[in-house]
Amino acid sequence: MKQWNSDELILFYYGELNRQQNIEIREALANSPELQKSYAAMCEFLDNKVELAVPEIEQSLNQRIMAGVYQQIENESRTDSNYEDVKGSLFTSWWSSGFIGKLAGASAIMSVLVISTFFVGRWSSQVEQNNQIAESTPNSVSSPNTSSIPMANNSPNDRTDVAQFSPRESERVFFSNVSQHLEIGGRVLQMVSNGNGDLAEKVAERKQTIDELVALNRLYRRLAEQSGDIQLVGLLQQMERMFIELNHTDTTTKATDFENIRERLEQSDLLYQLKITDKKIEQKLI
Amino acid sequence: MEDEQTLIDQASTGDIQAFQSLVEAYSGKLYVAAYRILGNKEHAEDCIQEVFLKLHRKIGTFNNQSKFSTWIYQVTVNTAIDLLRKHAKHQNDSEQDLDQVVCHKTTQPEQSVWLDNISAKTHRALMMLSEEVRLAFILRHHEDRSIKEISEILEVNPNTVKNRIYRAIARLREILDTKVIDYETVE
Repeated sequence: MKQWNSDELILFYYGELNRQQNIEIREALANSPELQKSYAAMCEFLDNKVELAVPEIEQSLNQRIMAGVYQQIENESRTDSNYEDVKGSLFTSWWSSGFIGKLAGASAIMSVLVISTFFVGRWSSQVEQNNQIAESTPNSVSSPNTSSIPMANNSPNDRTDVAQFSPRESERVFFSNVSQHLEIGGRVLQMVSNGNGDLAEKVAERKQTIDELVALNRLYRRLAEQSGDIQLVGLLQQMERMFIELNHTDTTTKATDFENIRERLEQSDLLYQLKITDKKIEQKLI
Repeated sequence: MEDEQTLIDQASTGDIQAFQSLVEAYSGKLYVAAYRILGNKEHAEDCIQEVFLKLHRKIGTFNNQSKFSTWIYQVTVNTAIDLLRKHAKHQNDSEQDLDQVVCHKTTQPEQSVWLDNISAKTHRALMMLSEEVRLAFILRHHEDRSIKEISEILEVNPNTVKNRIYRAIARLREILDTKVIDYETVE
């Protein structure tokens, strides 16, 4: 009669033996008290002594996963769009992709992009350079009243005009824009928070606004990152996640998904944080 | 849930709702597997988020040569291993996390405490095994994957998987039987 070893008992325990071996080992177990004892000890160990309890899964994990997926899609489409830019046809690309309706928003975003790029330049390495230019051409630092107007009209190469902005003024314009963004974003999020069953329609009506909020939010977040404003970055990150999720909903999105978004909005205290930050920014502006 | 193959086909063509259905179907199971490998809730959640991002990128390359569940387990195990190595220097934190595991099913507090103790000890014992032996055991014993599936997930011969499981059980019995005695004596 075949002698069964502990390895084969393990395979038997896990149901990994073939049919014939199963029959043979059962017979052996029935006839051998020693084998029975050995198998019982192994079962006792595997059944009771190697437990691994797992904490319950977070309810919001699936939403977070999908938010990440949407973000990934967004990044991929942006990469594709950049590729088209390199080919020199941003406008053509948007036109052919059926994004005509977004052109108005895009132009607004582009102007903010230009303005903001200027601010970034002001805050970083150009500050020193501009100061030097300003020092060498003292007449150019003229009326403070002109400070917020000329950038749209002047060539970026015109250093004397750039030097009309002090970092303080640039900062004020930036915070003024952010404050406006927080206000509009806050209204959209408030609508989500107050939603009761009609969110799908309300969100669909404001699709264009939400789309623009995503782009602006990303822009302001990057500028805030560069200026080292961690608190504002954190808030904008949270808002961005919400806007992206809302942006990817449509009329077929389930009511429970909207309910989940609403619940998470409330749990995160985002609206409260938003109000506090907006107040702080307004104080800075005063 | 719709037929899994239909969902996979739809998700492969970029259908986000189909992909979401796959997330809903698998996130719980994969989270449990990731937690058992990593021993830390936050790391397990990070792992699963990373896994689904990878799956979303790669789902078009799934070729039906293996089962879908085997494929996603393979992605999960590989991602978990990467994270495990990344967090290796924080091993103490991981142990602490398991020590703090509160089993939320608190219907029977005594049973829950017992389970927490067993879990913490099992985790420590598992961490004393080599990575390859530990993974084979977790996948067979806790995740109920067959030896054939494990050999596909870990990309090794089925006999190698069997050997790793034998070694894991022998070593765990050595460690845990001693530890239980120590624990009972001390307690």
